[in-house]
Amino acid sequence: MCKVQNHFTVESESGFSYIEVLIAMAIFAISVIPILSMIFNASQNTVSGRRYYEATIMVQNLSERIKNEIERRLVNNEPLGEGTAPQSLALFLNPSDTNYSKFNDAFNGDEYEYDVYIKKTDGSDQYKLLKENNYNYDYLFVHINRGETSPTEPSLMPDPITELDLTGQNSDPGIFDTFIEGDLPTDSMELEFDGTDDWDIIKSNSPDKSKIDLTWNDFNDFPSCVMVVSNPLSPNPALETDDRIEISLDVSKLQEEHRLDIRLENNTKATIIFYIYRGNKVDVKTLDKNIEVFPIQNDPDGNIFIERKTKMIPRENYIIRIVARDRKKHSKILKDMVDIYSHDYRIAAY
Amino acid sequence: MKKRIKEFYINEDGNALILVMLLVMCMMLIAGGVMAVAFSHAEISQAYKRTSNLYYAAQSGAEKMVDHINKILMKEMPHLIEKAANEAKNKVTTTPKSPEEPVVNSDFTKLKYSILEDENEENSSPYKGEFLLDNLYQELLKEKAIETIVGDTSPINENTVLMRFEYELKNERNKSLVEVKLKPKMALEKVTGFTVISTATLQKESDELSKIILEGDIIISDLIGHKELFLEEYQWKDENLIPNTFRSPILTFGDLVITDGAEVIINGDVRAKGYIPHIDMSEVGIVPFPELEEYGGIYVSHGGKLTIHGNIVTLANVHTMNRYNTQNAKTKITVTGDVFANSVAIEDDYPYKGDASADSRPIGAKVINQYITINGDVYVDNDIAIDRYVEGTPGIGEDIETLIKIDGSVYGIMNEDPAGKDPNKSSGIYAIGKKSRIEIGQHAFVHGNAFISFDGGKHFSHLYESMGEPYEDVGFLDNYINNVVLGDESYLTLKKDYIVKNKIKLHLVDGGNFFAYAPRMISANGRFFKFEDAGNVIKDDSGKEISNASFVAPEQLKRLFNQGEIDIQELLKISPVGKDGIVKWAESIDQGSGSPKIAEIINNAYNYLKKEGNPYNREYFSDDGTSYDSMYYYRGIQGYMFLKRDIFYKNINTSIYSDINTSKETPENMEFTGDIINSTVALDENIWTKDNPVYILESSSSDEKLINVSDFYDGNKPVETIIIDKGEGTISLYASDPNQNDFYGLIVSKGRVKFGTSSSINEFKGIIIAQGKNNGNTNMTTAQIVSGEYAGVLVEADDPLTITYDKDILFKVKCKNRAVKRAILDYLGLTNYVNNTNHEVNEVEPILDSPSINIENIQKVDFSSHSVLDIKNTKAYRGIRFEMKTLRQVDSES
Repeated sequence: MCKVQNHFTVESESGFSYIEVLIAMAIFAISVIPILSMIFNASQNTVSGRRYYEATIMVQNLSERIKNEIERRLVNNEPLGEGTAPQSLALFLNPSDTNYSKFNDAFNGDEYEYDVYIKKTDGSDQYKLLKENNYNYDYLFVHINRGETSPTEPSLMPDPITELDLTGQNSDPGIFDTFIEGDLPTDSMELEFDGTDDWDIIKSNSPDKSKIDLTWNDFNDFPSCVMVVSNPLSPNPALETDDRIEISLDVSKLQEEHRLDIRLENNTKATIIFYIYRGNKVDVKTLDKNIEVFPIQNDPDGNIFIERKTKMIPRENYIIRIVARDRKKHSKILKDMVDIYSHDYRIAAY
Repeated sequence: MKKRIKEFYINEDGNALILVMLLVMCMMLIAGGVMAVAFSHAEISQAYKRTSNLYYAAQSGAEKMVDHINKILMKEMPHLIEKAANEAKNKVTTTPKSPEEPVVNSDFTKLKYSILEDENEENSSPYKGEFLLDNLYQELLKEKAIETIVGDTSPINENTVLMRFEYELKNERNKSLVEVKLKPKMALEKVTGFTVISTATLQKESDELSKIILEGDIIISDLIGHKELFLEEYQWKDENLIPNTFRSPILTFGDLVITDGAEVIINGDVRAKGYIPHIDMSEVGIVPFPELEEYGGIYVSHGGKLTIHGNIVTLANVHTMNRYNTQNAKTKITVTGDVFANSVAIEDDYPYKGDASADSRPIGAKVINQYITINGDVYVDNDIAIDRYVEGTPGIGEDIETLIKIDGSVYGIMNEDPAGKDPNKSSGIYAIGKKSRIEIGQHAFVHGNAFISFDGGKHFSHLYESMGEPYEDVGFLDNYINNVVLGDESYLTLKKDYIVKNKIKLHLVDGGNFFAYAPRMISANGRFFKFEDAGNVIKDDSGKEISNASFVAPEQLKRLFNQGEIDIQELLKISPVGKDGIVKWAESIDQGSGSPKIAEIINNAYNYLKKEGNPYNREYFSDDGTSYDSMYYYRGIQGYMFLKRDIFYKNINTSIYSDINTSKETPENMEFTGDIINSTVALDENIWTKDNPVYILESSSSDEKLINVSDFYDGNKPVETIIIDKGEGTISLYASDPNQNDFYGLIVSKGRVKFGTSSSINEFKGIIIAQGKNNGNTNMTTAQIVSGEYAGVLVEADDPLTITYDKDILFKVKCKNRAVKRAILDYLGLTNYVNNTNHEVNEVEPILDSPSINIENIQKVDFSSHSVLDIKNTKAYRGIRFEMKTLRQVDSES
């Protein structure tokens, strides 16, 4: 301290403050630059974190919306999309959102872009949800540049190896097996009321096991149907008590003015299960009031069971990959999430 | 030192540097803090970015598990429905069982009857209701659904892993491993639901970066918005307890008349109360006692042919009659079973003589071609007889023809009218008609003898024989005419060579198995003999002794028939045990060693009276432990006959037990209205439709309603149908279409059921219950009876008709409108919907346990396995499924 004092006070003090300030400023400047840089980086990280965070939230919300939309379309027998060509995500979720404003509001289209890859499980063990040699997704929905850019494949593809591997060593088999609609039990018949005065046989699978005769009568002023289940003709053996025959009638097109009168006779020892399916929109009271079933079980060992309900169809699983991108940063990937659609049994009415 | 310190404060050299450095340091601290915060935000964001994927991976796994077990449920659902529906139905119905198995009562607590409110009526009909299962099907279905998932895993507790699967979600940098397990939730050692545990682990190479465990409760949902409708069908509660009303293809309180060449085959029993002429007891001697032909019952006349593959039960007679000019047409009754009747007779056409509408038969001419063949036994109160102007037409080499042939035994149980007046209360066997014969294949026991009438029935003479040809050769003996009560047997000795002694043919041989008894003389088998009153010896007119073919004494016969004047107190109970404590029926019939016992001879009756021998499992013998009180007056064969005919009796007043000596032993007659049908049940008239094949009409007494059975067809198949005529007229069945000429169903008529001349009906399969046309409670002429004018069932069809019994025909009639069927069941006294109007009660037991007619206090019908479950919607209906109730993050797997 004494030396410093001597240097500045004893030997010369002129201009000292100027130099001192300059030095201080230099030191300050040298010190502050990295500090500012750090602050800037911190700020950047904060913004980035916020965006990641927001993108994650958006993707989660989007995932729920997509699953709901899949649910809705499956229940109403509507296709999810038209092949693997890129389609508008906003219109997929809401076809009336033609200017994408609702989507942009809900999912911050100013900031983010999305691409969604959907793959239906098909019994395979592994799924890769990106284009490699072939399309490995069934549907691609995108939302680019607030929807103002036509749906197209993302220029910057996400990691191609994101995959779902179902070959768990401890898995019970058949977890992701495909349920194919249209498979009928050995003895079964599917009918559909066509909305006019008749109903048609959609499928029938009773070549020799049983004999199901359908007769349309025209009494009581409205068309009626007589279904008689009999034993198969010789030499096929007669039906026994452990045999089951399923007959289902789809009355989704039933209107209030319609009336169906069904006489169902079982002349066998088998159990007939007669389902009457309705569409979700059919009023239940109308359904019961307008459909009269007169079951006649002629063999004391046989049985008829009637159940009226909405058709319960096994729904496939869908693997959904959602990628959120930063619209303002060259479509940088902010969030990449995989979800699996499983039918929501709590809300479905059947 | 002090100075230096002062200088230090005064001198400001280096202060700026220090300040700058401090400032810089402060700024660095601040910047560091800011950066730390910023980086931590970034870290948090990155961590959230990663763990949100992990959370979703775990959640997807849990959802997939629910989806998976629901898909199993869907796949198995038809099978589960089948099992649950069958099980639910079996709980409330009686399932088919082998006869050896005891009947198990349905569990009606699972079922409620709910009367539907009618918007247009203040009070709803008790018949318009629904049977509803109290969520029984739902509970069974849920149970089956859980069982399906659990499978055969055993033993099982809450740590048992029922199902598991794994999958990986991976990219270049890391991978998420998802492991999902399903475990049971237990309550009272029963699986009530499931727990799903889904663990998602984020891994980078072998390092575990992060881990999330989600645990969810899976419940099985209820069927929402449904009602379990039970569309009931019925069956007999116990086939041993089928009400009397439904035990034969024909039940009538009138007559069954087959006439004018009609040919009828009846498969089943015929029970026809039959017309019984009224007798004014106060004017005996002036007002005639009726002759046999004046009774109704089963009357086959004028070329009619009746074959019954079953039994006949009637209070009146079983008889044929042929008009002289139709005698070339064979008139015939064939019965394969037993006959329970007042009499069995072949009549002449004397009642027609002199009638302007009848034929004129030359004096001395006789009617031919009448036959009665009975393969079983015959139980009669009165006679077995062939009338005077009947003639056999023997073939070459024969001089006599058998017109009444009974392969079994004959029991004529009456010896005299208790009041001592009615000649029809004394049993005998006689064949007056020329060249006619009555042949009896087994035992022949009669307790009285025949009376014959003069002056149109105003005077009756007691004959000398119990069996034989009594009249033709002795009719003009003055003392015979005057001896109203008992004649002088000496004429028989005088005329023995002139009496035709082979008109009765008994199969009695020395050392044989068949026996006979009659209190008076017998002319049979070409001989003339008599049972001695007090001995065990039978002597014919030549003094030949016949052993082993008689009873010891009339006392035994009285015990056998249970009718007579022996100690009346002994008759009070239906018991083989006499007052002296001796089992009478166990006595040997001739007291000889090795000879059969009475009970063995009348084993049908004896067995029937025992619990195991009658269809009701009733213990008619009081000493069997349970007295059937209403049978005090009836025992032995009389009791057996009474029981066989009890559809026509009711309300035997046991309160007069102590006054037996002065009381009449006559039960009250059953009435059609009130006892067979419940007239308080208002049946609406109904037009037949295929879905409600019930035709309810009301004929007036002058009506003859034509009913075309060809209308009751579905294509080429007759539809089981119920016809109810509430009126007292006639319903006449016919078939307009020769290819649709069968009728399957039940007919209940308060009047007459007729198969007219051109009815063209081929087969009637079912049951006819007919009161018979009301004759105004006045005596009818024989011509009216024979023509079936007031019959219950009249057949005069040209074409052969087969009537076949179907005990279940009532239940084979399927009505879509169950209110109609329920009302009919009440009308027939089988159920009691009519009184089940209390909406709060509306339980099932009062409907089925208390029939609307309380004649037989037994549960008569039950719900059958023909019933159907119909699950209906009340609002948006949901089937059962597994649902995730809660999903929560846990620190570790429980």
